[in-house]
Amino acid sequence: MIDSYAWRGGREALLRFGPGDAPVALILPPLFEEANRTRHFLVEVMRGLAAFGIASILPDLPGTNDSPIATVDARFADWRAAIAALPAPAMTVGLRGGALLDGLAVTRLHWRMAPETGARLLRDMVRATAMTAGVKAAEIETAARTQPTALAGNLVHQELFTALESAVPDDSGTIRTVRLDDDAGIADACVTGTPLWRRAEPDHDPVLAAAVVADIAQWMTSCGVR
Amino acid sequence: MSEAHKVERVVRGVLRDVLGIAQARVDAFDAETELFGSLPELDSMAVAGLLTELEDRLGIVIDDEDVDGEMLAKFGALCDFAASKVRA
Repeated sequence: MIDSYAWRGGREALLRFGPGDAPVALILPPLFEEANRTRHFLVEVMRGLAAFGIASILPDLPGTNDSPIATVDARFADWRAAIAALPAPAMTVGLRGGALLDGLAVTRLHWRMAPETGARLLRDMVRATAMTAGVKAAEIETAARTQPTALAGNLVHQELFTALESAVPDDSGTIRTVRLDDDAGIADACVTGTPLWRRAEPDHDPVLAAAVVADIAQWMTSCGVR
Repeated sequence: MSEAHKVERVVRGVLRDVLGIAQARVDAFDAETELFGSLPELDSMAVAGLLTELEDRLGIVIDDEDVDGEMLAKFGALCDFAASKVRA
């Protein structure tokens, strides 16, 4: 169901699935292009959670998805304010760069999949831009720190760029980190699947979605929120 | 399995996952299989994803100065490059 929420900068869309009286999982999608590549997957995860009786919400943060705010006008502080204005979730589900934002929610239960630091996400975007434009990555980085810069198809404001450069997933709270089994990063559990956030063409992985839903449901039970 | 074989398996997996090409096709790659410039899926954007994914899966860091047409030209060259970073 498409709903909306108000924050100090206006109104944004909010996708909602599951029973109205159930604990809510706040879904925090990856940032920038990776969000488009994984939207189908995340919506299928939400449907799967609903089948377990778990409610979930997927907000458009200011400057993302169908937001009335342009990407270049988005600031990290806007995302903080928007997340604070959402209905209080029982837990967060953060994918990739979404995990950089979960500490801004009022819950201390954070389920994460393939979390990344802001610096590494930006490095990927800068590298892609450098390769396409035939410019040195260091030059693009310098520009991005001082002026709005097009990075892999997104015009990113220098304030957001520098805020993300130092952003790391918050290590406070109760955290479960899940990664794909090929990923060398530290994880509590590994699942088999495709890194959909890497795919140039948006794709879906139903087996991965089912594994993610089962892991989230089980973890919510073990944390006593359902 | 030798380290070179492990690296080669990771490189195949990354090509499969980043480019969205079939496992059977990736399995058929040999050292002389041409990549950048010959695989239509491997454009500049995909190269960036490929490098970052190799970093994640092998726990290595790839300097942008190291990236040139030669290391991406053939499957064998890419595997050798990745293996040299793992040893470094």
